[in-house]
Amino acid sequence: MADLAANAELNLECVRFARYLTQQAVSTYVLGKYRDAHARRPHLSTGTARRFDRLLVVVARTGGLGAWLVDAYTAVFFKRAVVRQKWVLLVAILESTAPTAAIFDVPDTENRVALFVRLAGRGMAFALGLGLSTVMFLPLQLLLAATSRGSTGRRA
Amino acid sequence: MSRIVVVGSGASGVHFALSVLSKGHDVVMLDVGRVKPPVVNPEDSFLDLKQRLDDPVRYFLGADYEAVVYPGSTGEYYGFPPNKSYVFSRPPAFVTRVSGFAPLASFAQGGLAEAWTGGAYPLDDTDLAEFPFGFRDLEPFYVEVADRVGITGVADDLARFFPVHDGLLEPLRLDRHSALLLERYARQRSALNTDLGCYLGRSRVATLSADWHGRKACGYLGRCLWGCPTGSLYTPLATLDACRRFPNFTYTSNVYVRHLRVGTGRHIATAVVESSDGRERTEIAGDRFVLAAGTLSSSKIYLRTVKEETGETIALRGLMDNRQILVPFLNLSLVGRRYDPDSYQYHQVAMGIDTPALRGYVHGQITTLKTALVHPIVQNMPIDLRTALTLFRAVRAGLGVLNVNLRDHRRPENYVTLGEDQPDAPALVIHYTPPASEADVMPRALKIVNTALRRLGCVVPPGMSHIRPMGASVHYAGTIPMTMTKAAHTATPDCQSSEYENLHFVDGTTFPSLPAKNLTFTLMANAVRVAARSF
Repeated sequence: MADLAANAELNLECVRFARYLTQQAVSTYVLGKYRDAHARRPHLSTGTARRFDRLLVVVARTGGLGAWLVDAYTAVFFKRAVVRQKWVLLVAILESTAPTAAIFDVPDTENRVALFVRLAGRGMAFALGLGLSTVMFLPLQLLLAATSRGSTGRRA
Repeated sequence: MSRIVVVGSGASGVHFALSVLSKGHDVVMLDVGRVKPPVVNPEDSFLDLKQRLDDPVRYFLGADYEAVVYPGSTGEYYGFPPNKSYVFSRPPAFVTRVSGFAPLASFAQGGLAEAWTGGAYPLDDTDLAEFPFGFRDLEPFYVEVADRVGITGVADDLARFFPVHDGLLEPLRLDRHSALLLERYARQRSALNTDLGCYLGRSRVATLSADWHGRKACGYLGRCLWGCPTGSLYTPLATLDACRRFPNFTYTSNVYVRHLRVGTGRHIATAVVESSDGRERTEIAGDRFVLAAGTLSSSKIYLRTVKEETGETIALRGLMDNRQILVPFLNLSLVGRRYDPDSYQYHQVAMGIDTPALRGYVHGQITTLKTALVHPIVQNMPIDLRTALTLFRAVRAGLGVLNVNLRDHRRPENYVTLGEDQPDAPALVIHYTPPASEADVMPRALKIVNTALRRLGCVVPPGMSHIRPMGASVHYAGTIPMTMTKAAHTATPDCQSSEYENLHFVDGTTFPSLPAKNLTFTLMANAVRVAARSF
């Protein structure tokens, strides 16, 4: 039962993350690979992650706004976060198989003006997301790190 | 006719063997011989594989997803794909202890060149200044190897650095990005030549542009990195197969050569070998012995031979390797364009820089990005992943990397020796310190290539150039150098050991200096030269 629940959780996570990163649905093959990678690569498991790491995964799973904020924050302040490793794994899986591989191959538009406008928009969105997520997550990260150190110290 | 024992099946070993087999000698080739996995779907392109394989993720990322490059990884952007892991699989007996050096060694059938990118550049007289022979002496052997291998190239501006020899095939079809770089160069030639000492032209590559000796021309499938499925990109396995057609050739795999046993009169009598798992040991007799296991493995066999004979642990000094710097760039005119997946994946354009500021020739190979995995690059961008994916799609067609190679010289502070901790299975101890001049030369070289790329319409993202660790180029050489005057633990100009008269070396062990150009073509030519002159 626990395995079934864990699989369902990973399936939901995979679907949400794929939608966030690529706006695409995923096949059962991709879901299976995503679960298999988690079984083989313990560092992707949130069970052993620190509290802040786990929190980021939970927030990112909500998709949309939550994922956007976590993505911006971890890009600068926490590149090795478990959630980012999961995203990179998913990109690696999606780009290795059809039809999702095609997503990574062609520019959004070949109209250069439109492309630059889009990239500029993305850049501004990233800056905004970084600002907001820093206000939200940085104090939390520091607080959780401090309390974690405190409890470790007391146990020692 | 002699019975010749050849150790190793890499580029130099197989070409040496083919030459002496043709002369009627008996050859016994001893090899660990890790086996290449079968080629999958040889007719399919890179993109086809993603559609047609039953389990494409396993093929591209590995059974344990070992090819996924996660954030924070300290390795290269692109490592070797899972299906080439066999090339670097070591037997338990080959242990190294290193300082300042990150060695790669291969025990595969065909050796390290099973994973090479095909750069095949002849050395000119300047490169060979410290060798006991010049280009004219080596030229016939370059031509012979070119005939066996099939090398594409053309007489262009780089002919001033790579002599044009007979037997070159027409160049491969250019991908659009490489063609654009050469067009820009044609317009900027004078300024680049005069101001920077920088020249551009076609790479010389061991990949067939036309069917050749039973091998097929390049099909532009975009699968070079994963292993050419049609055999158009030459690897030594093709020559090993040619050797196997001789009745006087014996290929013995799954054996690891520990050392050579010295008989009477400083004659090598046998090769002492053990099974790859270390459980069985036996001796192989021969009239003459040839080390072709690659500089590190050959050096270790030699060190153990000396140790077994004399009880003395010596150091072989003068280990060399090319320092490499990877300079990623973006060609602005290709932003927003589609890339061409049906193209040759490796380098098609080379850069030569010859200016007094760099104290010697600097060699570069330009690889434009075509088919490749995306995630190793996007995960490294300092922005959110969703934006990184959008940006990557927009710039993909204009991305490329210039691999800059610096030359090296033999210096006594760089050496290999045996560890003393486990007498029956000693580690190979490797110590390397870069030359002091490197701190001065590298920034100058980077400044020149950045300027050159800018004039070619490209930008180099600041802070993205990557200085590869010593050992990464896998161009190892120099531990038992050819010398004109006999000295301890050296070789004659024909690569015969100064210590053991029936022992020759035909790999990089004997190179007295290491020019900036990739050495594999010269390794093969020198092996054929030794076979012609001494056997």
